[in-house]
Amino acid sequence: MTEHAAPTPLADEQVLDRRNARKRLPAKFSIGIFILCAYVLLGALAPMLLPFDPDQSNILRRLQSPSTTHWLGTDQLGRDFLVRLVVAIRVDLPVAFLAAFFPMVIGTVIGAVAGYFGRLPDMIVSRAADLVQAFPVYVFLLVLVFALGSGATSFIIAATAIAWVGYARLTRGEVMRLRSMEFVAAARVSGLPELRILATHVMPNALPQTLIYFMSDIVLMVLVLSSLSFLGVGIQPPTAEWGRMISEGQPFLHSHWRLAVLPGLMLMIFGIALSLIADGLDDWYRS
Amino acid sequence: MTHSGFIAKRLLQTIPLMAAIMFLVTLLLHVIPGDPARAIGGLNASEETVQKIRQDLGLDKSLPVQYLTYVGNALRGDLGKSTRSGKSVNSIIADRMAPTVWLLFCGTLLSVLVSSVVSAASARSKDTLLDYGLIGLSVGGISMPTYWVGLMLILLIALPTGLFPISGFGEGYSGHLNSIVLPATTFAIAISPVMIRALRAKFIALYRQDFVMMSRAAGLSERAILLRHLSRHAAIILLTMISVQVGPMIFVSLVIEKTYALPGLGEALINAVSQRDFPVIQGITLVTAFFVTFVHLGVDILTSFLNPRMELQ
Repeated sequence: MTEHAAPTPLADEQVLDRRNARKRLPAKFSIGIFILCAYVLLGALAPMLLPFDPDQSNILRRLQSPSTTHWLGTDQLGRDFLVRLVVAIRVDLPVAFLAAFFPMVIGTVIGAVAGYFGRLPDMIVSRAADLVQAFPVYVFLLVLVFALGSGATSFIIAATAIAWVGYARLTRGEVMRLRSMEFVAAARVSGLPELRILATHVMPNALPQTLIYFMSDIVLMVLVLSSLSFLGVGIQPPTAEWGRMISEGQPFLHSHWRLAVLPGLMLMIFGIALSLIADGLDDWYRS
Repeated sequence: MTHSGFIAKRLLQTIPLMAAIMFLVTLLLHVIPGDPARAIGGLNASEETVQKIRQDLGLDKSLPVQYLTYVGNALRGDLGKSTRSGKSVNSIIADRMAPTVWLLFCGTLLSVLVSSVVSAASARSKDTLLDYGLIGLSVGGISMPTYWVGLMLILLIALPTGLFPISGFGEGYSGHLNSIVLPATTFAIAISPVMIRALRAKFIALYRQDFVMMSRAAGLSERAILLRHLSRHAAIILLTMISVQVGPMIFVSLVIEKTYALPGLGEALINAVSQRDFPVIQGITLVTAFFVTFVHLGVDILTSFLNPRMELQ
């Protein structure tokens, strides 16, 4: 007869530490992070990997088909297409990141103050947000970038002027919800100053939602940035930028489709990667 | 609050909003770093030309005066003259209106149709392969740049089949319709994913409701439940989504007009931007902003009729 082993009791830290029981991050999050890391690495190492100058044109070698020297051929000005495709990461990613990062910081602070203190600050913020949202925001962004002068800095400034609203609305709602919860009342009763309650007790609970929104906002910003460049108002030539490359490739759609197709694929895969990260974080946070 | 009271209040609310919009449009000129008149005239313009631009645009007056002049003129229906062609901004907008309206109308209609069908199918078969496939497609749709989708449709459909024109607006109604097919499809690919997301969540929540179970128990067919009971809820969500998405929709249509060389308002705006033609830029921005305001207003009023449970405030 076999003896049944006595059930081993759980170790103390297993009982107490709920983090062990917490669900792991889903696979789509890891896939997204993997693609994102690949992009960042490629962008960072591009100049070392590829022996061509992305902006050096050579009319004699224009529109060459893929070969062993130029793996993806050359563009309409004879520049190596693969180098430009990869070097564009160094423009699109940081600019889109900053164009989502600054509004996040500003919008979150504004929204937190409005949501926590209510009354006048809340009223001012809500009216300002209404005004910005009443505009066709991206048309306004286009005109604003034009007025400030095309380029990355103008884009980031214009995006910040417009996109803070989304973050402010989100944070305001979260903070208003959290403000009425018991742990805030408890902190207040124990005599903590209001700002400290907001910063160390309320905000950590509101931030995960903001982070998820930030991820999808980067996708939006990279798409808007490249659209503006496609329209001729964003990043100016000769800098390699995907939207600009697509617009330059449009006349050759019939004969050299890769010039317009590949930059779009780069954009799309990047967008999917960030959507996977945002979705994964969302699932994880809700579980 | 009574219904007419709600509508009156909502109408009154748009007045300060429109005043603020016109203020921002006036302010646009002052965002230009340095001397706006010089920036518009260009570096090679003579001092007299720059002086003339300054006078034409009223830049020699103070900002409040400029604002009041602009509002006064706009109220009388005068949006100024193009600094390039000398044509009135009103006539430019009137000439360019038709393709944009066609595109917005057909594109929205197609987006609503596609997202209703897809989200209902996706919610009915929640967590199946079909559902995942449809979600995957919509994530892909969100991540694709709109102008690129347009070029892909040209490359994969227009060029091989030769059925649709790749640029222009065609002649007559059938010509217009034929040249709007691909732009409207591009529009739907850009706009539907967001609608599908919201609508699918709503459908899933609705299918869990007691009244759906009751209707099933009473022997109603799935089709009847969907069409008779759920469609009304879905319509409210769709209207809200149109209201929320109208800003992005206008930007999307602008990009599409450029891609397909449709001679609409968006194309006129981009031309004006490249020629630094400020009165035209201001005029088109103003018209689109007013359009957005009216859509918000219209949807709010419509929803208040469709959704009797809504609190009127």
